[in-house]
Amino acid sequence: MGDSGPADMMELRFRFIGRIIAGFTHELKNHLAIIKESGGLQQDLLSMSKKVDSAELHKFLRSVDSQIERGLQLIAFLNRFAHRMDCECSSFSVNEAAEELVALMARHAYQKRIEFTKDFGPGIPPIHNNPSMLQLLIFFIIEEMMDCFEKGGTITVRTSSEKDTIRIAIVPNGNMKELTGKEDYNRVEAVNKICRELLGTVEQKGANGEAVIILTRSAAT
Amino acid sequence: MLQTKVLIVDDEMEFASTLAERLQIRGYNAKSVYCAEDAIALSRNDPPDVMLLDLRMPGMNGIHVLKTIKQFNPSIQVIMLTGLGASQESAEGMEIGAFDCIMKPVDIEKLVVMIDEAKNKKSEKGV
Repeated sequence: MGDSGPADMMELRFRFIGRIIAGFTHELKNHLAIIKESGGLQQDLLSMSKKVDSAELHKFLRSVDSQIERGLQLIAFLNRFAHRMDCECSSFSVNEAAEELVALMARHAYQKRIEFTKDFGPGIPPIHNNPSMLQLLIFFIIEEMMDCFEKGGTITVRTSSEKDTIRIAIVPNGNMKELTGKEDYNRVEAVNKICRELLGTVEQKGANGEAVIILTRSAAT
Repeated sequence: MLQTKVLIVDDEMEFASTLAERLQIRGYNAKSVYCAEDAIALSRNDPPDVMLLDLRMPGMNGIHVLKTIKQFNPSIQVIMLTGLGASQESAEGMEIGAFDCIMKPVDIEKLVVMIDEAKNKKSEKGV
């Protein structure tokens, strides 16, 4: 694959959005399936005994409440994620953008037995840049890491700030393997291209391939 | 008449255990397990007549489980529990020998009919 042109970037963004929507719908469908089965069970029990068991009913209502709560939280994340594309540049919280992305990638990670942990620095000032592009960058770095895990592990997303600089470290923890080059597009190239657009850099550190994104607070206008 | 033994394999514990309870109410000997490894182990030790198998689970996926089970006990009838956009996996599962597939969330009445048909197929084969 040569230098990523606009068409390639569009393709990468579609792929990114596709992955996020697939994970979201899978997760939401699971919550609805649990509500449906729990409701069905209550109907079954009612039609058998013709009376309401209050302990069972409370258990059912708690389960429905918790599933709805989790579903609503996911919907809020997806809605915010979608609105980040309303304009190219805006002032935004890096912590919020990272949290939302991690939540929307959780299902994808879970399938690979990978858990996310968050270590978000307090008081990080807003950044003026392209939030959607930053999420795309974090997504590609995480996706690359996920493919390197042998049998699952954790990925920590850590944020910090110093003067005019904001750092987002993505730290894998687990047994890692070398990629065999089977991936059908060049993620490294995509990462570099996105970095240029964000006027930032990515540094790779340590044996496990920790990646650190470095951005300045008002890089883009 | 012996109860039909149904094994539900789904990493969503609440979904699987509730569905098992609903099938028990309907007269089935239903159990649930929450990972591929447990599904394979239980299928060897106490084989079900019918398995309801989620295709997307962490680690070993449903297709791999289906292949493994069909190798050591082809008589177990497997109904695949599929999600959205899993048509490719469903087709692959059918080729490997799954009995049928049903989309989550399931319609319990349709599922019961499907389980009975799967059990009948197993009985017709005389195993």
